[in-house]
Amino acid sequence: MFLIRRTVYHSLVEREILFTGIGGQGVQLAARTLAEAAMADGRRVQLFASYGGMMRGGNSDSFLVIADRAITLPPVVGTAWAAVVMHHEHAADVWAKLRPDSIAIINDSVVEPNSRPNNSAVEVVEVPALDIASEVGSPLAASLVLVGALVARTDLVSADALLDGAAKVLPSYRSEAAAVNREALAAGLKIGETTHPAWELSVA
Amino acid sequence: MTTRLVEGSEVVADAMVRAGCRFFAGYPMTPFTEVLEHMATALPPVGGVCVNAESELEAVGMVWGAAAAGTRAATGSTGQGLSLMQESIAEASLAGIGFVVLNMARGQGDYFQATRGGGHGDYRTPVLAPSGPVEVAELMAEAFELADRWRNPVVVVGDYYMAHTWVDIETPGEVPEPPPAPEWSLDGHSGGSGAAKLVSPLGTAKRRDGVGYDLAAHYEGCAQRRREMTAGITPRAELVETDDAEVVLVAYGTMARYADAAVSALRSEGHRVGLVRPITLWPFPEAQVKAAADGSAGVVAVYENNAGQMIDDVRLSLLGSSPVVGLNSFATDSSAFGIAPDVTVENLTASVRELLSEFGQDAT
Repeated sequence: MFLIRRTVYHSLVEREILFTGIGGQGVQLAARTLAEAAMADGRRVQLFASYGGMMRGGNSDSFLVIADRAITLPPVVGTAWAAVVMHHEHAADVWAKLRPDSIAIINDSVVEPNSRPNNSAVEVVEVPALDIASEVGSPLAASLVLVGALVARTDLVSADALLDGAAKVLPSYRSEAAAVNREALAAGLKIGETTHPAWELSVA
Repeated sequence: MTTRLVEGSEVVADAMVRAGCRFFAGYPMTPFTEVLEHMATALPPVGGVCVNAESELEAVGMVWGAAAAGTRAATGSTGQGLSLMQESIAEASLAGIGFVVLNMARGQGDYFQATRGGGHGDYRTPVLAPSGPVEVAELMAEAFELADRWRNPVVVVGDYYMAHTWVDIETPGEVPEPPPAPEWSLDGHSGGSGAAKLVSPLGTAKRRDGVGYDLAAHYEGCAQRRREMTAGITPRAELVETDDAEVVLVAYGTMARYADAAVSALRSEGHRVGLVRPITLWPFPEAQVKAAADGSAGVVAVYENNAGQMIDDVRLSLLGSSPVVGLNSFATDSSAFGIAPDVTVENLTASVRELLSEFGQDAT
């Protein structure tokens, strides 16, 4: 059987967000929270999770794509529009993939000062995520502070959808963390004004 | 219908349950583990059984038994675990027992394991290769149909990328009832009258007949069934922009998604590049590869995450009619799960540009 398909050219906007950290920092939770929020806004999502065999200490990376239409990109993207960086250990690949017009949200509580994007044109937002998360009730929610900050700068998803995402991604045996996770997202949303609007070039 | 964010492994599990699978057994091993976990959750509510076996040897043995009793059944693993299962997959083929085997590979180094197998005897297994979670739902139903129709194990190939990619997918409605047990299946009786019988790799017999197995007739029957199966399964491939392509890429599974994106990027710049994506790896879509290459291709480039395996099937398809090159030297990351950081659309696009400068004409 021959299934013949033509390439469809259109002005698709695909936003690639890279997440990196080490196991236990909440990298996967942060990526899934953002993905759920994008879906609630009616956008399409694809999320590839790559992590080593241990809960703590190994690499933990996520490749999230949010788009207006069905996603065409493969699981691992070669360049990216944004990064959420919880730890410097495995960040080199992320720095290398950021395009000049991209934005990097950095966990300033942990990431070493010499670990920064290769390209000076990338907007860098340094967030004392551990301090902020501790203030709202749990240092474990630091990754969600960063996600809140990303949304504050980009309007990538609506604030309501993001806050509601906190409860959606937790398994039933972790549901007690939903309230503090929501607070962490809310605290992140207060970090700065929109500098990198995600969808202003979007063509329906 | 509602849309949910679902892990690829769960898409695989749901597709199996919807296809009528009611028995599943396996042993945890990345990137197969989450499929087993999801089956453990999904099967009991529909009256099915999922077993975390002592090892892959027991898992495939249990599945062989369940399938012989007429239940749609499946197992799976990654390379090493599937190596352990090869004897049983071969014996099940000779016994005429069909089930589905998930080959959740680490990279694509297990192409030969999936398409040739490592078991004994004159057997083959149909092999389906979805490009990602979205296509799994469609192909899984076909895998179980083929296993039933040809009474033969059927392999479905996935990988770490497919298992760990979360997609927004519409939740389908009610789970359909599985088909009834086939007439030939066992019902717990090996003697007496009626349909009671034995099914084994040596043949099918009634114990009370007292004449034993006729091995000559059995192996002749196996060979005939294999010939009919080979002719009866239509090889499938997706062709993307191959009509006038100067470089024809051939890639399957996840790698085909990178190739597809590279074709889009290069076409938008006016380069004549196309893709053949085999959907059945056995039978291999030889005619489609040949047709794509015979158009105007200067070269056929096989993009696979191994040291060169599917390239053999591409060469057999072309019988020397076009030059064939392999695009397949990738570093893997420290996980050893088959993640190759240099597998990117950008790197592939650069490789194809080199091929165009060597084999193609200037961009139109």
